[in-house]
Amino acid sequence: MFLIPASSYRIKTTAKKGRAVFATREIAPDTVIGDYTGTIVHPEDEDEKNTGLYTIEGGKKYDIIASPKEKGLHCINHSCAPNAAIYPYRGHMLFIALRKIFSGEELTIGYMLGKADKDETITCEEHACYCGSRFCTGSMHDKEETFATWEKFLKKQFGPAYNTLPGAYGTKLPPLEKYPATITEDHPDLYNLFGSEKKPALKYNDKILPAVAELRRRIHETGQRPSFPMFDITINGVKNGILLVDRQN
Amino acid sequence: MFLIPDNWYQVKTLKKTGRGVFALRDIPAGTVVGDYTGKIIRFDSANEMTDGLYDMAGGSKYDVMADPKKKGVQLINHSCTNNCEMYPYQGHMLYFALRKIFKGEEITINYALSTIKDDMPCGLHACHCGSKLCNGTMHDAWGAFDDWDKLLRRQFGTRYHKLPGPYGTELPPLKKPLAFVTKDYPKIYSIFASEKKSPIAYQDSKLPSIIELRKRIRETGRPAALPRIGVKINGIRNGTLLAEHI
Repeated sequence: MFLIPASSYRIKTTAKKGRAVFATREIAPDTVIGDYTGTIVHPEDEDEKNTGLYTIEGGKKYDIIASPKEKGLHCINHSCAPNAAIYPYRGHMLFIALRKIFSGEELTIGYMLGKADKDETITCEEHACYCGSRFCTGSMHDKEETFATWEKFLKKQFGPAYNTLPGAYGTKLPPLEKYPATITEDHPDLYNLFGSEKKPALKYNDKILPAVAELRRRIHETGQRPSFPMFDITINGVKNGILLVDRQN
Repeated sequence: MFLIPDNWYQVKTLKKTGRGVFALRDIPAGTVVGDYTGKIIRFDSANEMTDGLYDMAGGSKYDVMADPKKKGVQLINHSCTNNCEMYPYQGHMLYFALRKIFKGEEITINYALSTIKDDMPCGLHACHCGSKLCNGTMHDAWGAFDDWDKLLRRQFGTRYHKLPGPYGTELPPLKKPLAFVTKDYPKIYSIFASEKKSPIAYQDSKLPSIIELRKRIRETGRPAALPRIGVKINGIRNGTLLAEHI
């Protein structure tokens, strides 16, 4: 379920990635884009082979399966350089804008796919990534360590909701009574940040490279890649604490 | 088959990644470590489920299937911060040191697996290299193969469409293998400094060229720290510098 106005986004069908959600106006950083709603199912009843990749992990006892026929957050694609992210909140999975998102940009998140079993029937090709970003790894899976950190965060964020069922299996996840308009994440170890690849870089006159937190703040606020003509550096993004740097000519 | 002396390396069994090959002494950048030898099989005909990940792409008509029981470069693991690379040479795939490799380091390569038509279970090609720069997968991005294929065709020349021998026979060894690969292909080879070694500080006040940075990492094997800019370069992947704030 989208929580931004219908005039802020549009769902389009793409050549390689099926449906995709595009911003039709600027979205401010930290905006709560929506809530991943659907049917509450037992984690073991999740069946990607048949229902597609429309399941999101909830607490310990449940997953949420969205109906692919409906319009909703499940139409948002994965990207290796996403501009939005999943944020666990009171037993729900909200999607938030990680940075300013420009009109025309595709809304994307990291799917946070965990460690896959070697005997699972889902193939490498089915989890291949086609985000087309310069930083695409070719796969929608994260490394094991990242997923472990994510699981810990999810548990902490949900609190008592982690071990509780939000409703009976097979029923719809009840919406929250009230949604926050914005959420500011505070987990640089989980949320990587990338400036828009389509927008020009934004110039700064620092004489020495600012700290990672400051670089993240600038990308978050402006949506653009910070560039430092004084020493020929453009920062494309920050991934797992590592700066992705271009040399400016 | 290895092309470095026996006392330069050691095969060890590891917890997460099976066997691995370790350097027993420093190996200079450019050194040809070995030649991927094995049986000539039809292109893309290997069955990974039964035979394991021991086949190497050759020209357009063949793969080379190594025997996992034999000692050879097929025992070299994938890493997202590999210190070796493949160099196509006269229908063979040579492994060479992309940078100085230090004594004690694991010798690694980028498997660069394609996801196209990959019907293996998706967990099978997860990467466990443990690097800070690990992508979590042994796959490469879709479209990353175009430049590689260009190099392969150019290097193999007329051999690209030829069979080096009948299917089922052993790939004949090179008459004169290369000792060093001195050429650098920045568009194709990513380069990473050793994560265990301390950086070398340089006094540049502007970021040196990519070619210069690659040269420094290649020759020293260490990260390049640029304290006057406040950055440390750990590697270069697809033309992007992977850096840390210092």
